[in-house]
Amino acid sequence: MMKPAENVEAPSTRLLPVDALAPSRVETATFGLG
Amino acid sequence: MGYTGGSQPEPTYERLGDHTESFQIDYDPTRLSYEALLAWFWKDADPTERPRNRQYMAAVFYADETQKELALATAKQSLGERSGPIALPILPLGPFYRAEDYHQKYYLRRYTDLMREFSAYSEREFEDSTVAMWLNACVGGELKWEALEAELEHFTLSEAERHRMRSLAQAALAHRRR
Repeated sequence: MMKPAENVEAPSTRLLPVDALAPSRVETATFGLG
Repeated sequence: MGYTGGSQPEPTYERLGDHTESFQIDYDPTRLSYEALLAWFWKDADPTERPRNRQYMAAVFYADETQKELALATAKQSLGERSGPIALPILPLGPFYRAEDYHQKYYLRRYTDLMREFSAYSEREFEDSTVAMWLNACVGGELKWEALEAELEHFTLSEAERHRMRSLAQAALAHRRR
């Protein structure tokens, strides 16, 4: 499922280094916990 | 972490209704495929297993027809030589309700030294944080140093940033649950 790029933002010093890099594309998988 | 699959609006842990405790994984499809996630899921899930209760139910919630077809195809592959119908629920994904904050990154939340690193994050940013996911997995004993190092290689970081990430990982691994 494609999501809107809601978390795309300029690199931020507020966020930790990896989190500040916005992914170009994100899809979502959902599973129930057994 | 969250709740889905039921009809009750705005479920909570205490008032779950007919929902199932579930988790969502946001992933980069250029690095990880849905098939790979399904392969991981079927390692622990038996496609012939009928759910005993709705709250704790191994299930695939598919978001579109492609995910549905892949879930069914991999369920059949997982059956292998065995026969029998697929009883594990493979259901269309409806509304997903995020679980309460304390269910998110459950292991990591115990460690104030690590949580301090996220003090500028909103709750939603924390839930969606790749770093929080890594550190949670480190303290939970699910992610080892070598695997984390390999993950870091996929990100363009300065040497100082890489050093900061490694220091955080070391701190998390020092808390690892035995």
